[in-house]
Amino acid sequence: MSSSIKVALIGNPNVGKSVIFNNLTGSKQHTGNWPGKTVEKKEGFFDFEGYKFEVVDLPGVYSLSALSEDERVARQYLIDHRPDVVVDILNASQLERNLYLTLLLIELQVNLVIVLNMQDVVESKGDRIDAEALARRLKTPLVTTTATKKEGMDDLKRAILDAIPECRHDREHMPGDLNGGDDQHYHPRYHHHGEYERLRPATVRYSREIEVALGKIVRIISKDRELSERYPPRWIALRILENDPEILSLITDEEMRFLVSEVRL
Amino acid sequence: MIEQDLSIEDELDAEIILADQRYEIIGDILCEVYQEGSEKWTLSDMLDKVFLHNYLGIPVFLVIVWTMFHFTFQVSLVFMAMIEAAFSLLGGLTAQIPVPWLASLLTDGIIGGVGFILVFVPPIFFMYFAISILEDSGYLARAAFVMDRVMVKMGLHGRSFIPLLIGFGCNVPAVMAARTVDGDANRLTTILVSPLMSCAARLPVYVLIAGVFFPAYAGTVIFLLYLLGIVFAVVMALVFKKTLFREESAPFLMELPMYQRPTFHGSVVHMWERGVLFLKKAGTFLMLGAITLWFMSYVGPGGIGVSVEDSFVSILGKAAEPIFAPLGFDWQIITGLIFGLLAKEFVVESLGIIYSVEGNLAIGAALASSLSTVSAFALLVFVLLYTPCIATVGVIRRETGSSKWALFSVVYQLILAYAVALLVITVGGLVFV
Repeated sequence: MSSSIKVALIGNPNVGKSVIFNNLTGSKQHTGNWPGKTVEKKEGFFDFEGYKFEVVDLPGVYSLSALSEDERVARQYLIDHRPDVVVDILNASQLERNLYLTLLLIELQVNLVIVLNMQDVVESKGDRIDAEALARRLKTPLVTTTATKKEGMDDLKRAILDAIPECRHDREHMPGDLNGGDDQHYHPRYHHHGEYERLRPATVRYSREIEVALGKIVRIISKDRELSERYPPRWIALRILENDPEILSLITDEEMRFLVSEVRL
Repeated sequence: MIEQDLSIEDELDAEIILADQRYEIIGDILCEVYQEGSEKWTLSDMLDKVFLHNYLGIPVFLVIVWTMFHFTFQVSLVFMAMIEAAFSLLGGLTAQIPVPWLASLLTDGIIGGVGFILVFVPPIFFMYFAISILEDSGYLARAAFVMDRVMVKMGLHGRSFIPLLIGFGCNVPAVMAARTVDGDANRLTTILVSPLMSCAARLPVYVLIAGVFFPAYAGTVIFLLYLLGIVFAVVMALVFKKTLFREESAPFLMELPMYQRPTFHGSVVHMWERGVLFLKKAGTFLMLGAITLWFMSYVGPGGIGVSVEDSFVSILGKAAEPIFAPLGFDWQIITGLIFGLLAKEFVVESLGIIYSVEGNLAIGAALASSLSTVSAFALLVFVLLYTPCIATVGVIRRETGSSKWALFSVVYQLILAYAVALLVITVGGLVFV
């Protein structure tokens, strides 16, 4: 395999993301700024089982709205660069708050690996997390780590590698090639979005009312091929429902814009 | 436009409903996978119950900060006296140098100026020590949380208090920390008000003036000034918010670090790291300033070695005297304030040099005879509120990307400082005369 595998690290602030980044990449990293932004960008790489991995440390964020510069940078990177694997790092002792971002990432349909970090804090409090059940529920591979003690780093590397479909390991993938029923992986290069959503129903389902509205919007924007192939339609529909100005501005057709704005809860 | 047809409530509704449902889903997931431990009440929870209490939070914060300033001032006194004695001994030696201008440069310029500012190294170091303890223990983040709650209630942006808190150390990083604030208008507001926070460089002025005029409650007066800085930052933020900018702010979450026992070693290291920066500044920037100031006080239009009254500093100070007449500041203080625009340490430094060149070695007594008590307090307020230093103005220009906002910050702070100082004089005149 010639090119390296792109991995993005994301998570709330103070979850030990930088420690994991340092553990993964060691000294093979460099720091800069995101182009035109005041936000710091850290990149590095590591080798595992003969594969080369390129890691980008995204800014720590609580959500993916386009409100703060940090959130814009993280979201833009995920949308534009479509990393092969997105590693979502959670502070296991603050699950409730941390899972919010996880749900947003699931909505964005990135190829997710979840890390439950700070396992030691959970244990010291005597709490218990059923990691397997969580992975099953979110339909996502999950690794538990204590980054400060460098525990679980090899598990994480293994999980990242396993999250990449076989096709990515050895040969260039052709459009429309479902690779023998491997429909779990999503990447614009392999499937276009509509197809992915048909193959893999959403993990996070909202109330009937919202789902109906989402369905309506998806149907309207499916006429814009450019839009619905570049972005996951369900995700676009959610953003439109939330009145995300950046996404609304992507709809160039005036009539379509009017139609989607008609869909209310 | 179509977007304008949607009422704002609709937009908010969808966002809130979706967020609500996400948390509902998370709740369901947690029910399945999460089992809480038996040790529900940790020490950290108990401390948080007090420190973050709805009503107790602020009083506790005030008591802790007051204790900090009291400690800083009281402990410093001994060390300050020691440094002062050492420099006056040294000054006695340099004064005997047979070359008059060299004797004056060393005695009045270097020792009178830089040496005098070094007297205030102990309070600066102890203050950094105290802040390190508060920071390392995890309390400072809680203080920010408590203050933040008040600010949000007043309609201000939540995250702004953290940059403001950083401003206690130095205003330059405070302005830079405003980057974390959401939204351009909120960020600009934070940048404009963070110079109102009392930085470490103002401390020498406070210690000097409060020590002379309010010796019994110097710690309390200094505490009040810091508090006044916060109050004005909040008030001005509200004013800007209501007049210059209007912007919705997003609710935000604040991560509270775990409580930790601060280590003596850690706090000393922090104190040293920050304190050394001050020492470096004293050795370079303030030294250069001292030489310039001395030169300007030794030289006048009439030639070299003129009396201070005919020197350039006096001309500079006297030119501005009419403006400050209502506040009761004399030209020595005004010159100090003008140089203070470069850096606040210069206020004290130039007073040291001017009085020293005048042959007045007891600066305290000289100050006491030239200022009334009310004017002294007005001076403290003025120093608190007016433009902190040229470095802060520079960083405001860089962070806002506009000279206009930098100029605005200078102008509004000068006006605010003058107006509040005048208010102090007026009210003080009514009460004390």
